[in-house]
Amino acid sequence: MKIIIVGCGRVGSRMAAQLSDEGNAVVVIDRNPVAFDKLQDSFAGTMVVGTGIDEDVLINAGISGADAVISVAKGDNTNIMVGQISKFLYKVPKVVVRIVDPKIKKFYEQEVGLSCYCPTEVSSSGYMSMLRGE
Amino acid sequence: MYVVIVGGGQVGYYLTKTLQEKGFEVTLVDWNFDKVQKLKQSLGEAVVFASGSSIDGLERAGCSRADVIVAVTGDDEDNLVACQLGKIHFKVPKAIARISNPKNERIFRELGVGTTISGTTSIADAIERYVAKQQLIPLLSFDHNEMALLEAELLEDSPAVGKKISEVPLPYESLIAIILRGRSVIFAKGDIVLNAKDMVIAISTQKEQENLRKILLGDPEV
Repeated sequence: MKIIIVGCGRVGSRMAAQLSDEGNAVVVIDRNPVAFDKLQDSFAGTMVVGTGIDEDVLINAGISGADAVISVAKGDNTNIMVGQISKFLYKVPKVVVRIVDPKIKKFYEQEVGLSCYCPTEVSSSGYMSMLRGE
Repeated sequence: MYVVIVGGGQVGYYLTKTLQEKGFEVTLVDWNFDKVQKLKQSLGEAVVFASGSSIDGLERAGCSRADVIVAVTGDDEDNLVACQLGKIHFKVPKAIARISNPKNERIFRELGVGTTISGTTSIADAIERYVAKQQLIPLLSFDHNEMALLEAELLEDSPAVGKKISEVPLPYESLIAIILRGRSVIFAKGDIVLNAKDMVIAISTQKEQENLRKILLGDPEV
């Protein structure tokens, strides 16, 4: 699979390494080239410097032929825009974006049709179940 | 008419003031506490400390009853989200987004935000028009590039407008050949008066081109 990851932070770099090790063609986008230091030496994919909300950057990263886009950049709004460009303009089959604000996540999931991952919801319910000893 | 403006930078500040002077009810939303304090000194209660990309923030700004939402932060992605929340969640009839990257105009339109204002596009267009209008366009060159056939479009304020061709102080090594006026071709006899919008086709040596340009089109405004 050809996978584009927007945002090379802790989560982005970890997924990039794993997906690359599994044999996927991975392209990582980050506006800060220093962020790519987090990628292990074994990373066989491509790095693109730029912001994912710039269509030219996405084109450069090969969005036209991509099978999946995962957007885990710092700001919710960046991920929201990347997700919509990928899904609705470039018809990328699988698009997942991170949205930290639960209400915004619900809105974009229900009203706009984006697949969203909300770390706030997931981690708070994780803490709760640990607290309850489950 | 109630307008919610997202983004309290220079554009948001002056837009709020301008719309208030026109008699609109306006709320300006910004998510930077210090900025909001400063804006309040000038705009008072019209300023609300809230995030324009959150449902609660826009609710506090009164988006539910807004007629127009305008997002003018410096970040295109923030303006997109504010406008989408306004239009889809709060059912605001009109959403206007400021964009920095001109290519986002198409993207925003496809994502339901049809009205975008791009300062970048406006400036680029102005420069393009200016450059095109102040230039002689080379059509053909001959005699080892010593001579050229040139085209110039006269404007309202071009110095040659209103003059007979015999009165235009052409350089010795330049000649007006024909004038294209609308659909007609006019041979450049001395008593023909030049009009604005005339397309002048001239022949000139290379070294007199700059003088010819000045005589026909004038000096670019500084």
